[in-house]
Amino acid sequence: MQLVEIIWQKIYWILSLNFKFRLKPSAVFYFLFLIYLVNYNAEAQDTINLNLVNIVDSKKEKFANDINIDKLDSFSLANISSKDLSQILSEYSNIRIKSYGYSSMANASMRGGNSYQTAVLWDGFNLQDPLNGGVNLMLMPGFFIDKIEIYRGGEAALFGGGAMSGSVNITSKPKFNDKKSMEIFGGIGSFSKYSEGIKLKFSNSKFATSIKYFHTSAANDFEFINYTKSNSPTEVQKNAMLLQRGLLIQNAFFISKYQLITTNLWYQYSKNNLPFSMMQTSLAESFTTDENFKASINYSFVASKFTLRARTAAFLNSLNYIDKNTGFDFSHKSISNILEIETEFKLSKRNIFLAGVNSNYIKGISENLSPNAKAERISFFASFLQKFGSKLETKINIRQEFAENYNIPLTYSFKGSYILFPSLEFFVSYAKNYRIPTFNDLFWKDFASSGNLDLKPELANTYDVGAAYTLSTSRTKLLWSLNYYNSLKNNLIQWVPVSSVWIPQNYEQVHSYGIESNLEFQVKFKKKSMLYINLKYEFSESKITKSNYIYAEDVLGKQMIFSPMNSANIIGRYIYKNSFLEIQNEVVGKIFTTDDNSTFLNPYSLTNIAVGNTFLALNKSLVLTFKINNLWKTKYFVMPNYAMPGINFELNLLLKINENHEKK
Amino acid sequence: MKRNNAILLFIIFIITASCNKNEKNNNLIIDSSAYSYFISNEGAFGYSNASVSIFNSKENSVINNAFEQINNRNLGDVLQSIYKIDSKLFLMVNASNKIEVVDSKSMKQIKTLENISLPRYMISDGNKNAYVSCWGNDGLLKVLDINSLEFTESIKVGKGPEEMLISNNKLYVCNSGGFVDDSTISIVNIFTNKLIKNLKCNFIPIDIVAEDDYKIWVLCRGKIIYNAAWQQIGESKASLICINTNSDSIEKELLLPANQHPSHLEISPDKSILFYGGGFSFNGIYSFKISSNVLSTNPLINKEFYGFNVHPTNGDIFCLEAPSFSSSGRLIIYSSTGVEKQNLKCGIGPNSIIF
Repeated sequence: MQLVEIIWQKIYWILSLNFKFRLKPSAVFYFLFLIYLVNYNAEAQDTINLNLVNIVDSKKEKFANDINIDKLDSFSLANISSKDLSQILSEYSNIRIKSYGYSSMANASMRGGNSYQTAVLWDGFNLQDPLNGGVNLMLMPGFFIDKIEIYRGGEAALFGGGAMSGSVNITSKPKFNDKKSMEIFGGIGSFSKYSEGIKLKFSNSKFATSIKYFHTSAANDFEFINYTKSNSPTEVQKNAMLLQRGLLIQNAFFISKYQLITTNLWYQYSKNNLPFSMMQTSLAESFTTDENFKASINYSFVASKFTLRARTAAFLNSLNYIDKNTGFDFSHKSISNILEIETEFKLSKRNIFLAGVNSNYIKGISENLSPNAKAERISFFASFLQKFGSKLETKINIRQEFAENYNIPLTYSFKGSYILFPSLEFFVSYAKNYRIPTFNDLFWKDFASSGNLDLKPELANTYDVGAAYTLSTSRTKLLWSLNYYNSLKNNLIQWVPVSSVWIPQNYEQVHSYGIESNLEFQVKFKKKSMLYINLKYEFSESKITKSNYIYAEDVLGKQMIFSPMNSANIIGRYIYKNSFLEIQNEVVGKIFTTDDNSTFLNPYSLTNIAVGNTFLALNKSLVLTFKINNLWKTKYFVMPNYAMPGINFELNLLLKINENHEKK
Repeated sequence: MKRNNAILLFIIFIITASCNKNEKNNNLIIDSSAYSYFISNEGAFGYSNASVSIFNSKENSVINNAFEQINNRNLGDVLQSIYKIDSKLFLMVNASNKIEVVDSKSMKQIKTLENISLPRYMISDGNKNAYVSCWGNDGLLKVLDINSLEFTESIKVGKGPEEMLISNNKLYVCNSGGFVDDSTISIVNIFTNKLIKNLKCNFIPIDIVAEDDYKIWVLCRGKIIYNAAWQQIGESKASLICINTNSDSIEKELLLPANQHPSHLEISPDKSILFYGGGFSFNGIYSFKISSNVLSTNPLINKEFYGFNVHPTNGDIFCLEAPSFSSSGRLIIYSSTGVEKQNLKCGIGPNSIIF
């Protein structure tokens, strides 16, 4: 109990001393009441043994709209060691990845939104950079990721501003009772790609630690046909070298049988040359160096009827860009400090109430940003889950964020689900979302562009209607979900020339709507074999409905740029004993690259094929996989005129040694 | 067996889904008469969507993406300018570090000159050479043999060489500074291709026109001075300077009002009126009667333009508007007195037109 009190005292001190917001008296009262409730409940309730209970990130799954959550299956997760998050999402989801060339900076977007409207979360912490709202997925090695969840649709009430179109949550955490284990990974691929990684894990029933190190390098000197030159010569991609290394150290301790502390430390370094577009003929080098440091501490206290979670995180991002052709050399840094406390009350078997507070201090450091590029923001949030009988379930989430200079409206979402038949469930949801302008939007300054302190937050109203059908037999399993969404986004920010200086403005209204379908089919055969097929399809229209553009008639009714109307992912997998064959196919429709839709990228379809086998011996297993990417040598672009590789190969080895296995 | 068929069907589906066609047409017909004017559309930096539009002044129509339609490939990244020598068009594709040479009558590609660091503008000596101003390598002029289309030598000038003019057998180069600041005009002997001197002037000389054989005008954009927080703490005013090409000295300098920093300078067909305006941070196009020695405080055309050019015979003002670099720009034609005559769509980010 003392620890709980100390934490709350600390939070109260931070809130009262560090924040200069004019908190409404009711908010302060509410906060004090929460402190009282936690202390009261902690003493009044019997405690339970946490034992492997997933207590850190249960909020998201519990209160999100179930039909809109995509999770990578365990088999897929076991084969992502050599990839970064952008490649993983591209192969296994309908998320749109915008990348400036192969192995270059990559951002995610979904449902016709921009990349900065999709939040990327690490164990629930929002990683969006305060400067530009982006997250470079290339800097997230799959070797460090244990779980990936994709939340389609805005959920600002749960995750905070920024998650207007959706969010991607990656999780990594050590396991208890796993004794000693070690994994050694080695991969070799086309274009001089080499990857190595090692995981060391030790755990007992009270303590778990995990150390992961990953290194990858690639020359990316692939051949491509340069159709932008006369006679379309075959050329070799240059200036696309990549070097990455990362270290992730995680610890978890049960300080009592119902109190858990976890610590996470993630350092990531990346240096990558920026590949030229096919149009560029000079070979002057340009490159970026990224350094990211993430640290977090989580405390959890679980009793039978309430749970307390307190956690804090610090993120430091540093980017240095050098262009030897123009002499440009600039650095941008950002700092984020997050503190979040939430309590969850199980009021009865049918309802759960959650409430909490989140504080966020962010700062941007760049010669193009004023010293005022810092902010202290605080959010109060609450969620309520109510079940009516065994068929009807409702969820309500509310969040009020306070930020200096902004009147952020109350954000909320509602979800309802009804089980019509045991195999058929219907869903409906409504969410109000927002996104505060980034520091670049507010404070950027150079000779040709200027931030705008008068920007309003972007706002969105989204509703979803869907159904999920499941059918299971002893040998087969079928899941089909179909969802319709409709979203109206206002005050969208766009940089436009004003008096010949580029200034961000609340410029547009965009109406997005579409259909998302997910079909999974699995059948088990005799002799330990299984066939799995997954078909994801999305139709997404996202059109500008209002614009302040001087020639608005040029853009009204036009599809948003870099947002394909049609996209699909197909995965077919056949497993026989310890061997597998997997075929992945990604289909992307026409992508417009200008607001008036006068230019576009052609649709494309990419096929990858992988085979693998697991060799078992006592406490060891060796997983050998061979993969062919872009099997049909498709010529395609994700950015205009940036070459992408043709057919290429990967060979990966993963050796697992587990002491626990030996004892069995 | 049924299972195998299912797998086979699945694979066939994937194969058929992989077909990817990329069809283009080259049915464009260009009017080869003198009525065709060529618009340089920069496109958006990094997106490689620069293009050439052709304005037919007889039919008042515009053909967009002319290079792409004829040659079945994109032009490149940032078309800075177009220069015409005889029947050849030279397209300075700045961020692609190349010059595309095409036939002006058919737009068919002749040659691509590669590995030129940030080419900006070109000018012919009227004989066998042409000079290309390049921002790379700290500021260079590259000398091109027009017949062989080979570069023969390079001339070191100031930083960020921009527009050029040949007068009195000398080449005058505006050293705009490029990514930094400069305040010189390089003077080059066109017979020896040697630098004669760098003439000191106001900050950022950027555009240049000839009044007569021995008198030229240069627009110096001036500069805004910022502190470390990018707040404006002062400025060097823009100015129009008149250079005597016999003495290579500045004869006259007229300062523009505070906070006016235009980027373009043109002259009327009869060489009596200067027009300045356009570019970043400048609204309007102003006219200045050279004999008056007084700058007007009211713009002739009160609108923002990315660039403009004055027709060499009828004096019409062809203005290029780039309100967004993510959709089409506009060509708006005004009479010499500022009356709008035409408003037509062109490519993305239009900056200039040649006649």
